[in-house]
Amino acid sequence: MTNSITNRQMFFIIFLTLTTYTTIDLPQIMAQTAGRSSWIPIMAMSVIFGAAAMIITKLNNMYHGKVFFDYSQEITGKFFSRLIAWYYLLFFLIIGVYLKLKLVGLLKSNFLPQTPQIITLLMGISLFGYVAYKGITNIARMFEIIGALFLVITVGICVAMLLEGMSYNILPLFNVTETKEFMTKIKHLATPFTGLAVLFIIPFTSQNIKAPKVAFSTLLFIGLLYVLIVESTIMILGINNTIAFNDSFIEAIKIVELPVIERTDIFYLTFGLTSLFAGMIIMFLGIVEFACRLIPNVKRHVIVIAIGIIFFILCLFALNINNLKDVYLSFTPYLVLTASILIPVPLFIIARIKKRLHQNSGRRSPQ
Amino acid sequence: MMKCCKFLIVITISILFAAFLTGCRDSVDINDKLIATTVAADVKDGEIWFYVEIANIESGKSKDSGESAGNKYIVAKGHGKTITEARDNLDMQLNKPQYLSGARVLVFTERFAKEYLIEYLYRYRVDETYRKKGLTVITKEDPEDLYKSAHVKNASLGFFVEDIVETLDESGKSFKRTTMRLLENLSDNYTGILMPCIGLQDKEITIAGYSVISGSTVIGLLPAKESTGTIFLKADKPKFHIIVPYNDLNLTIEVLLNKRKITASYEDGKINYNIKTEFKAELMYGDKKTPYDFDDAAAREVSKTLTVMLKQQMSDAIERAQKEFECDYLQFDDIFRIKFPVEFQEMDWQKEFTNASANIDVKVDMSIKWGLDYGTYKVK
Repeated sequence: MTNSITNRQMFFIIFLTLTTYTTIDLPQIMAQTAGRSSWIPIMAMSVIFGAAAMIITKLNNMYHGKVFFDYSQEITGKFFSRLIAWYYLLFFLIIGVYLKLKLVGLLKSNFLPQTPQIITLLMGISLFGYVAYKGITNIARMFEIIGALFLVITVGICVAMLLEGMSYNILPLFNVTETKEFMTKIKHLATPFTGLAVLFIIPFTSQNIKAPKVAFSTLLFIGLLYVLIVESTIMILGINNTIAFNDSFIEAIKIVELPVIERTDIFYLTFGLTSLFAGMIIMFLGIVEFACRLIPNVKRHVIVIAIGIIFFILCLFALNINNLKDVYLSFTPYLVLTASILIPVPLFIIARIKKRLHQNSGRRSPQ
Repeated sequence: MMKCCKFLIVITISILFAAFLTGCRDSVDINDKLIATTVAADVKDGEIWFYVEIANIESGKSKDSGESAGNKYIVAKGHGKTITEARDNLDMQLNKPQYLSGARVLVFTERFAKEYLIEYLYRYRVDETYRKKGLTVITKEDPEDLYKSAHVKNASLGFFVEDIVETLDESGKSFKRTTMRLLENLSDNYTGILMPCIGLQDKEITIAGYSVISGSTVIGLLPAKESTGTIFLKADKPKFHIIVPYNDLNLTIEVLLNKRKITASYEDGKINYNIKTEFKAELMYGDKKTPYDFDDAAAREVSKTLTVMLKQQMSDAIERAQKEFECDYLQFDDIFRIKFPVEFQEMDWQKEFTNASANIDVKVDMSIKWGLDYGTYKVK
């Protein structure tokens, strides 16, 4: 089994990891933060994170066949490499626990109100653990199908929302008074780009030479999709309703009139849930991959079971936190910025310098 | 050792599958729920009354004796001092849980809307079991009379009212606003909206007009007969039949609004609206025997008269909103806000709207209904 993926699979991995959980509450976050001018900070952040994705993929391309944990030892030495790996492991664990609880909450409010949350937790963790055990290649193949379906359904519903919505709800597209708060609240916009670090668990090969361009375009595409989601939600619900609902995208979908389909929200969630699972699986895989590298002597299935148990216990603790979303949003932007920009950028610079020094010494040695 | 491991795996998987069966708790047959199709609310003798129309799914089934099990719709009533009390009172009479995802229309009496419009609509917003595509209408009638009128025809009040509003919207004689859109307007700093008002005409349900909502209460009624100008300013593709006098004839003309562009200007603290409209008018018939000698000159003259009439109707609609109701239900605030967002934030729109002026420009493209000839010819 070769642990490699194609650029198209990478597109869907980034797309699903970033978008699945964000789509539901992004309109509310954006309406609160930037009002009707939301498209400006979204596109600005997608360019910034697009550049970060380029750096991560370039770094991966410098060490073909190796994952981050392996090549970071060559860049920073063993100690720092292990330290960074532990950071990413904990980062994926925190994000994973939050996303898992969000998924459980969504299932409870829309599909299974009577089923104990502990059961949906258990079911999810067993499923994600099993899929994560199979490794990145199988997951990437699955993501291609799920991602394509999710993309078509989401864009289709957004277009229907644009057609049925009121244009005056999103106008004016630029309001000077709203831009004053951009800088103070820009940290909230890092959360929709959580998960970019999953690129570190993917070993690149020669077929990923164009990966930096693909990664940048993917982030721009995701930015455009976010704009489409936010604008269509505001067009249907209006700015005040969008702020009032935590899951404003789902609430907006409930109002869309589609031929034949009466419960458009259930229709969307049927496909949306598959992608929600996909997002969760990649987070679980991130934890497993880093744990396998950090504890190489333990078998993969034992690690998967141990992580499943830890994950389950952490979820049970987190279930008792009343304002979990606020707590999570208060520190996650810093974790995301560190994982996506503050760690990869210095590593990339050091790797480039080392490579250049190595090339120079290589040129001098024959003389 | 291997046997022990396999045994443990089998036990774990069995327990997991058994645990998944708890999901069956959420399995509820639709027959075990009361499907609400209409929710009506009223205030009587200082108490809130709820009237919920429930689809009687047993009605189709015949009993052992072969008799029908009753009406297609039944009405459950509950009352109390507060909305919560009234709902609890209603729930005590229901033998199964309510299913609100089928509710088509909310009907509020004017008395109820004056006091509880905001509270109930916020309740609607928070209740995720409610159907969010539903409509809200106001009535001056007793909800029980409305139910009776619909049930005589074996129809649901909710479906009936929804169909009326949708039919009028599609034919261009009215406009449709979902409850969520009302909620958006009600959540804004300035609120001025029109809500369809249903009534009874010879015991038949009809659209009596539009209730004017200013702030958070009902302040008046715009009768349907006097709302043509308002519809021309609000609806997407309004279409009406207008009778235009020409010589000794009364010509019935179908008028369709093709284009409407409203722009706002703000100079020296004065707000002005430029309303440009383009109509397509088609002569349908007259009240006298043909021939009408309806040539180009006649068309120009009728077009001129029609232009004046349409201009007057729209001008009257604006004046009525400004002077009689002092409420911007025409939603001119959005047009101004889009162009002048900063100035709008600092304004008291209630005050500014009543002083705004409007220039109305009407263009009419006159023709004869396709397939007919009302020109100059001799009767054989």
